[in-house]
Order: sequence, then structure tokens, then C-alpha cells
Amino acid sequence: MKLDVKGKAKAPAWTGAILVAGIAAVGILAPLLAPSDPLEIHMAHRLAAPSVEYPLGTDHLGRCVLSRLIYGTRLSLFYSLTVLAVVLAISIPIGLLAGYVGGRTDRIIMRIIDVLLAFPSLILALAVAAVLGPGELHLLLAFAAVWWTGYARVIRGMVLQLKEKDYVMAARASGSSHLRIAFDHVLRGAVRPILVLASLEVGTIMLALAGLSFLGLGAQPPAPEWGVMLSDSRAYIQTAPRLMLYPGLAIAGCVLGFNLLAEGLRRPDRRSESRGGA
Amino acid sequence: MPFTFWRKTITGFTLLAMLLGGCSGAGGSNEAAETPAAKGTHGMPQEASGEMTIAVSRDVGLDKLDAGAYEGSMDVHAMIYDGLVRYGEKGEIEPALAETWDISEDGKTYTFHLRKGVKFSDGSEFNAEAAKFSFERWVHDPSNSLAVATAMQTLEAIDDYTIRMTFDRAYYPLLTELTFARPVRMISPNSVEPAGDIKGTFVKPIGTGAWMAERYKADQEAVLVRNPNYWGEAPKLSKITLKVIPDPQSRVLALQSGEVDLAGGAMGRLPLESLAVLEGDESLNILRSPGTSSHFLIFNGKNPQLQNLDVRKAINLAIDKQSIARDLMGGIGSEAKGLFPATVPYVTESNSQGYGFDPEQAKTLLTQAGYADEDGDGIAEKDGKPLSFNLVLQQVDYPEWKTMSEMIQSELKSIGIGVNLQVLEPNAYYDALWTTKAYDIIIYRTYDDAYNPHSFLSSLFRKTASAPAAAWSDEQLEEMIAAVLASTNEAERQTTYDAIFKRMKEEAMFATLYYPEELFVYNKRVRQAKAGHTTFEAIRWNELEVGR
Repeated sequence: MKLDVKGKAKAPAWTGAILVAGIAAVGILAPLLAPSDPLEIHMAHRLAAPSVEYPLGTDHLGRCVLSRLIYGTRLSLFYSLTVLAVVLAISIPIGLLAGYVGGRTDRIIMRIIDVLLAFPSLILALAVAAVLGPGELHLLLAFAAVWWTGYARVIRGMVLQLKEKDYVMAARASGSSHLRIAFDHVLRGAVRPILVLASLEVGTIMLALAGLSFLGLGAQPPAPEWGVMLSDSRAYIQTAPRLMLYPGLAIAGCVLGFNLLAEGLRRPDRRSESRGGA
Repeated sequence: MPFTFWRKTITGFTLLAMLLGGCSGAGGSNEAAETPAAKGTHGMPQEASGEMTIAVSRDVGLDKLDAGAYEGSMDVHAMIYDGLVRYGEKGEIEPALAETWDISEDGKTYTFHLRKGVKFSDGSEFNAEAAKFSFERWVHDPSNSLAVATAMQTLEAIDDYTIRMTFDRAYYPLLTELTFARPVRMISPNSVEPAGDIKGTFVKPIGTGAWMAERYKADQEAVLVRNPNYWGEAPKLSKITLKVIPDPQSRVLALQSGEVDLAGGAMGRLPLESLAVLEGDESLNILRSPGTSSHFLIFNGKNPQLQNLDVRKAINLAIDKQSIARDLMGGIGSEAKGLFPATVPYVTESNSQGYGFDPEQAKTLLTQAGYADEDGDGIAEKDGKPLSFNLVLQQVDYPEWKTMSEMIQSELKSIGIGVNLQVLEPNAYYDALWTTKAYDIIIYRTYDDAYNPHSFLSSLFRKTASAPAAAWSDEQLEEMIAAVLASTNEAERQTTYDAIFKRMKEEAMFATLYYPEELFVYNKRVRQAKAGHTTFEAIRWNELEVGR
């Protein structure tokens, strides 16, 4: 996706893009960047202060905090992007179906979504995760199961708007099949807003995932997940407060990056929309 | 406008903050130390009279503290009510409300000679009738599993100060059961409505103990004052306030601010991670008392790989017990050897042996058992099957298990055994432990005090009518446990226990990890803080004094 941002809007978008690119690079290059094994326990060096060997010090089991943070980037990014992919895979067809077909299909789908939306999604995810039992896969499933509703609703709204556009009418008049119109013309028009929405939500999902891991429902030990690291270090808030600071900053930085990026993506979109194109 | 963006971000952070705030503490609600309700007690100057405040983690339930029931705080049970006998050092039975007792030759008849001139806190007299009343309120309850209840045949008052009990079998720990905090303690017939009716409704806690209930606010505080009619040496303090502070970190802060004078033990556990902070505090002292429990790993006998004795021994040898006690637990507690620490009856230096720490020996044993890492993934295999186990734990009741398990995982990995950790919520955990057995290895702990060793051994290592033993099943061991429980001879019991502990070690039926200690921290103005002999009487309340 191209960042055709002009004027004042530039700064946050680029900051966001650079942050996100940086985070992604850290995640991908984790084995090269991490100074030591994130799972290796050194009881002799536990709770050590930052040093050359351990740039951010060690945790309560003597594991290198920096390495854990770096590998944690992988987990956090991977988990939230997976959830997002599953959510999109569920919500796009459903939203498209409801919006394009309309009528009774639309009403039934929307009522189901309304019911699901009536529950606070995080609490619902918590309940699903608790029923399925702890574990990464279960957590991802729980999230996807409750998170798709909002998207489906937004996508349906866009489809309703787009299907009345002239070029869609033209395609219909020229005899294209419904499937072709739905995917090729209507959905293509919705791609950009969906991506904006998605990048905005990555941050939210990341926070919520960290929250559930913090509660012990997500990543299982010894995975270096940020939420888990935060929860582990909570006991040392008086003796080694830095342990809480690092994963907290990592989560905050990540969420900030994605939100800035989304903000940057959103602005030109509105302008181009007002010009009547997609 | 960036409005949406900020709103999104703020919402996100609020969400996280809520999550973080809402779940500190081990499953308890997060009531901070300085709620307005808790502040109410702080107005009175505490130094002038002999008063002190103690932090407890949960409501003590003073309004339902029926000596014959299982509700409320066990610690307070033991402060208000006395038993016929008392649990002394290493399970020694000491006289309390019974001055002496006789046990018949066959071990089935017990005659207790009660202390004379004892009064309940309401002024009424304690005698054989009151003792009989106390027992009759619960011994006929079919759901009570204590031997005192299940084996009791008759209970009679011979005269004003003598009661006799007969049982259908000899069971040596009967006297130990009579030292429990509940339901075996003596309660005044005036505690129920209508007075003296064994089926009466409990209305007020009235006992013969050194303390009596004065004031109570559910979930906030309970106030105990000195019982003027106490038969023993009067307590030095006139008043003890138990203040409910559910969050462990808040208890630390309350100690530091002087809001409470003492905290710790089972009634208000302190986080070991804060030990350094507490040690460094000029105004605080630390009291450690050796515990009677231990933490260990149960092996699932259904797992074919764990049926191999060499594998079980290797796991034992690979775990650095010393490092758990020294590094993870900050030196509070000690390296585990046998299943029970030396504070437990019948446990001696020679019969309680552990495996020590020798990873090289562990590797040799695995090789000997035919395991070798052929595909280079760090996990040994035999016949193509990797040597890998699920280790089940919970961290709500025992937060330290998570760290311990991570350490064990890393240590076992280094000798070629793979471990997957599964953190379950407590219900699922206990389900796995007692019912479904959905684990290869599960971390557990022994019971406290008076339940050891007999009660713990019979509940974990003996089969029931419907199920095999909860922990390791071994026929020879089960026979020995049955024999020791029915034995009426002290020397014979010691010999049998020696054999039991030896068999357990030889067969490596479990891997022991850690003997915890009770940790108390108190303000320096408190003097004469001494440890008791049981978890529920961990501090000798009657001897405490306070200065300025």
C-alpha cells in the first residue's frame, strides 16, 4: 500500500510507518538481533542490572530481558496478525453477503451480529478462552470468534454504499455475474477502508491479547510474550521496577505505531472518496 | 481530525489498565489498603494500650465461627476455642482442656480427665456435659470424614470432669485429630439458640480460649479482646485487630506504613519477591518458622515412560533443589529431601533421604535406560518416541509454582527430557489431579501440620473403593500404610514409617522440590514474636507484647 500523504498529515503517518516497519524488522530478524537465548535460565544472574552481556538486565530466572522482548515482538505481531487474518476471512464474506444480497439474508445476519455485539467483546473472549483452556491456539480462536462482528458490520455498510455507485450499475448492466460484481467491483472499492480499519485494530488486538496473557489465559510459559512478561514482573515492582517498564513500553510503542499508521492512511482516503473514486 | 486516533489509543490503554488493576493479587478482589472503610480503625492511638493490628488476606467470618463447623478463619478458631489436647513440637500431644487421658490396651477406648475450674468467656462452666455437647454437634454428621466421627461408637460423660469415647477400630492418629483447629474444639452450650440443643442454631462464638470476639465488620475487620476467664496465663496484649487486606502487595505497603503491626503466614501470605524490600526496612523485623509441608512432583503411573525407574530417578537427579530454595524462594525454606520435612512426626534425618542434584548421573541413567538423542533436537528418544512430558500446574493458589516449573523445564531439557508446561485455572487443575489424571507430571504439595504424615499418605498413596491411589500406586506401600494406621505400638509405627519412606525413595515415586517456611514480618515495636507449631497457630499470640 502506497503512502500518498501530503502536507501536514505526513508526520504521524510516517512515524507510524517507520515504527511498524521497525517492529516488523525486529520480529523477523529476532534470531540475529537477540544477544542471547530468550529461554535460557541462569540462576546465578537472576535480576541482574543492565550490563554488556545483558543490555536490559535479566528477569527473575536470569533470562536476558532484551532477548525476550525481541522474541516477544514475534509472538505479539504474529498473534495479532493471525487474529486479524482470521477475522477478515470471516467478516469479509459475511459482510459482503449481507450487504450485497440484502433482504432477509441481511436481516438475519445483522440480528446475529447485534446479539454478539451486545456482549463486551473482551469479556466474551475471556469466557471463550476460559472454556477452551489456556493455550495460544485457543486464545487466537477465542479472539477471532468475537472480534469479527464489528468488521462484518462496517463492511456491510460500505457494500451498501458501493453497490449503488455508477460503475457497479454499469457492470451489472453489462451482464457481469453477481460473484464478479461482488468481489471485483464492490469489494475492491472497500479495500482501502478495510485496511485502515485493520491497522487501527491491530493495536487494540495486541493490547487485548497482552491483557489475556497477563491473566494467564494466553501464551504458556516460558514463551516470552509481553503480557506474560508484564505479569511475571509485577511481583518485583518494588525491587526491580524496570522489569515491568520494558514490556509495557514495547506494548505501548507497538500500539502507538499501528494507530499512527492507521491515522495516516485514513486521511487521504477521505479526500479521494470525496473526489468520487476509490 | 486525530480525535478518533486519540480516543482509540486512550480506550486501549484504559482497557489494559483495567485488566492490570483488576487482577493483582491471587484471585482476590483488589481492595487497596487505604479504602475509607479500612481507615476507620486507624483513629485510635494503638501504642498506649497493648493493642496491635494484623493483616489477613480474607474475611475471618467471626459471625459464623462455629467450633463444630468448617467456616471462617482457622487461625481465629484456634484463638477463641481450645481443644482437649494440643499439637506440640513435632506432633507431640500436650494437655489442654484435658489434663490427662487413658487409652485402653486395644486402642479403642479413650478416657479424658478434664481440667477443673475452667470457664467459658461468658462465665459459664466448662465440664463433661459441655465437652459432650461440643462433640455431639458434629460427630453424627455422615459427611464428616475424620476418624473421630466415622469410628466413634459411644460418647459418655462418666462424671462432671471425665468423658469416655469408644471407637470401632484402633487408629493411632485419633489424638492428633483432636488437636485440629476445627471441628473438634470445645464450644459453650450458650453459643447456640436454644442453648444446649445440639441441633440449635449457632449465634455467637463462645469458647474457653485466650481471646474472645468483640467487634466484627464483614470483609473489613474483626476485633478480638482478652478473655478475662482464660484458664491459662493471660495474654500480654489486651486487643488484637485483624484487618482484611486481600492484595499481597498492599499488605507489604501496610507493614511499611505502620498501618498494620504484623502480617504473614497462611493468614496473610507475603510475596517473597518483596523480601528484599522488607528486610531493608528499618522499622520491620522478620520471623521465620519452619513449615510442615513440602512441594513435590507427582508422576502419572499410567505413562509408560514414567514407569521406567531410571527415568524417574533421572528427573529427581536433574532438579537443583538447593537452587529452588536459595534463589527462587529467597532462602525462605530449604532444599527438599524426602517427602516430608523433619518437623513432621516420624521423620528422621536417616529415613528422609532425597536424590540430590547430579545432572551427569541423570544423563547416565537415561542412556542406561536406552534413551539417546538421535535426531539432534535436544530431546532423547527410545524406539522413535521422544522423552517428553506434560507438566500441569496452577498459579492462583501457588504463584511460585510457575517459576519453579519454568526452572524444572529448563533443567530437564538439559538432560534431554522435554517438558510442556500447562498452567490451568484451579478448578481444572484439581480436576486433573483428583479425577481425570490428565497429566504426565503434576506439581502438588503435602498438607500442613497435623495431617502429616498419616492423613496425607492415606489420601494420596492408597486406593479408595472406586479409584487407584491419587499419586503413585504401589501395592507394598499401600499395605504398609494400612498397617501403620492400625498399629498401637509407637516403636512399631516408627519402624513401619522408616520402611515406607525408604520404599518411596527407592522407587522414586515422586520428585521432591522444596520445604517452605512460614514468613512473618512485624513492626519493631512488637516484642516476643515467637513461632507456634502449626500453620493455624503459627504465632504464639498470648506471648506478644507491644512497646512504643
